[in-house]
Amino acid sequence: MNGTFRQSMAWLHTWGGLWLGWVLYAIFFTGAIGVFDEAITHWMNPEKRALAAASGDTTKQQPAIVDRAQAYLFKVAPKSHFWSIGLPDDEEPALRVFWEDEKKNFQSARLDPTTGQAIPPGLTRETEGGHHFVHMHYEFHAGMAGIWIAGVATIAMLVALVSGIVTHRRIFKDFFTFRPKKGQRSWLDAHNATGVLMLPFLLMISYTGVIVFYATYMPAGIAARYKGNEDAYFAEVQKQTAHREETGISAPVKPMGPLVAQAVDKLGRPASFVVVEHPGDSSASLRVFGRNDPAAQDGRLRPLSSGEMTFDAVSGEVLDTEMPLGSRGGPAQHVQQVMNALHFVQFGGYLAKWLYFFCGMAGAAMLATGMILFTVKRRRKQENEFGKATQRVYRVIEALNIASVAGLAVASIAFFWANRLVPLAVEHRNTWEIALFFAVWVVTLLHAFVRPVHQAWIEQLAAGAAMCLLLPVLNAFTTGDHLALAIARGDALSASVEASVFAIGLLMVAAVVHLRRAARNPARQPKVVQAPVGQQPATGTAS
Amino acid sequence: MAALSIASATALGLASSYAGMAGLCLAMDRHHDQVWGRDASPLLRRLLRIAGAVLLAGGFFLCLGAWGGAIGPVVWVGFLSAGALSLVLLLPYAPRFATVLAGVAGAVSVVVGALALG
Repeated sequence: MNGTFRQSMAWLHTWGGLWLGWVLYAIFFTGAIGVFDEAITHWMNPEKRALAAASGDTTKQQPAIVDRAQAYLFKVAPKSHFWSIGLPDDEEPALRVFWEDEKKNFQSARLDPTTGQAIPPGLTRETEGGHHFVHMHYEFHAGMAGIWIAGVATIAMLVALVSGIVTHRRIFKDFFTFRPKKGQRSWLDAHNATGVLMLPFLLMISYTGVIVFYATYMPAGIAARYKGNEDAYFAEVQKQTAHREETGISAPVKPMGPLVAQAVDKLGRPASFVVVEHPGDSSASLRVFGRNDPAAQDGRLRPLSSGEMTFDAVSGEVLDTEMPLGSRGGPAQHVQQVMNALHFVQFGGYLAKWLYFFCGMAGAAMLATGMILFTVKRRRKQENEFGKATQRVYRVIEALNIASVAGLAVASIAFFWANRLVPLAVEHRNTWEIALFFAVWVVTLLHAFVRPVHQAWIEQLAAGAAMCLLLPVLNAFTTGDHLALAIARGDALSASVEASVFAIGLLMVAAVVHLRRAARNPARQPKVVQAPVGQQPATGTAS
Repeated sequence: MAALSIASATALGLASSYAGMAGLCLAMDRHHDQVWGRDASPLLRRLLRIAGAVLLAGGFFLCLGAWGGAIGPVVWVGFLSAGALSLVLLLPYAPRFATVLAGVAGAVSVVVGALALG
């Protein structure tokens, strides 16, 4: 690792990029798909869509609906740490209730809004929907551990970006350079072009990604100043009413319907969520959130409040009102909100979402080309970094590359298939869908070890292509819905999801054709050159 | 600029970014040679560079007009990346077509931009 500064940076870029590249690729790929989480959730819920359309606008009945939710919650958890109520909307016909049980476990139920009775499972599709990709993006369904892995990887990303800029000698000279069909040269060109041309996006998305979880990644300030009480910190920074401590004195929650009616009237918007903290305790408070109206945000980068009102849930006294389009907190809070908005693309509608999708996929391509470059370079000339184990380690790296790039694509489209194939009545259905996603991913990893490298790439991409291209057929067979029907009923979201998946399938076919042609043309298949034992690994060049 | 819908501002923003990047690109000997088989004359090189810079700057003002001062610059940076990357992917496979496309995109950007201003 000795040598010039640039050589040190090249070493850092190569090895830091390689070990965290697989994690980062998964973050970029699922994040790019997660941009469309609402559209994917919409596609994945044909039954809910139909029910929501049939039940029409329920906003007028919100107070009565909340009373039914309260009756249910009082029955299952009269005293709890919290209750939460999600009101029906255009996408979700059910009344959803959430609570913490005596064992501090999170519980939820879906109720019929007209009766307040639990909906028997199996009528609608219980699914994580597009949120699955968002969860993969920031925590891999692994909770706090996943958030920390994503944080470490993102810091490594920022290190790799800066060390990559230092290592790259000719940023402006090679700005527009891409030389295809030249083996290793082409991979380096593609890696450089995607990295350099996407640099503003890559820096922005990585930095803001860390900032989203600043309170988790940098807890020292809150630990020192607020004794680790995040609620107190956020209440102060957002200038909201302070969190009320439990008193232990029993007191019933007032009928919530009239309070919700009062809030809806004051805010001038239907409610979306109602949250009760410490129901059954004399400290109970009730917060009503207004429904988000994206049109009202038009032209702003920093999202404004969709309105909320806080009551004393025992006396009914109004504790706090934040009107829609209001804005609270100081400049630091606003800067963080802008960074969140930039990261979550909460602006600019579908145009901005598509730009983020392409930039995110270009970022994923940058990571993939970098990881492939590592192996392509060493297929030509071994560097013996791992002594006797070098061959085996290279093989492991090849397999991880295949599974993380091609395999993740197969697992992702398999998630769409699982959504249509897992029977509706299965218990914990949403977990099954996610389990199938991971199962398919593990199978692709095993496959990448068992099959020859080039064949493994071709077979996995072909499998992914077939599943993408056949998704409309699967949908037609399982739900009777298809593109023409979606267009006829003006359902642009469903139509776009299916058309986009089909287009991605065509791209994967092109990749398969390209790889098969390369396999038939041995002149372009570089031979593995066994380096003499004991030779020093060459340093000083990237990858 | 208010006359432009979001869809046409998007098309125009992408077109001007692609054409602007092509101007800067073709002003470099390596890429000029790639298309025409010879280096650019100093005058042509300067003209291409100015045209490219003007188109990219024009795109910035187009984005400001269509999306406002908060979102406009963000969208513009996205267009810059998208325009440059599509050029880089197209140029080695179809250098002539990429150049003609840049000419058309540049001309359309200038004409529509002038009409929207006037």
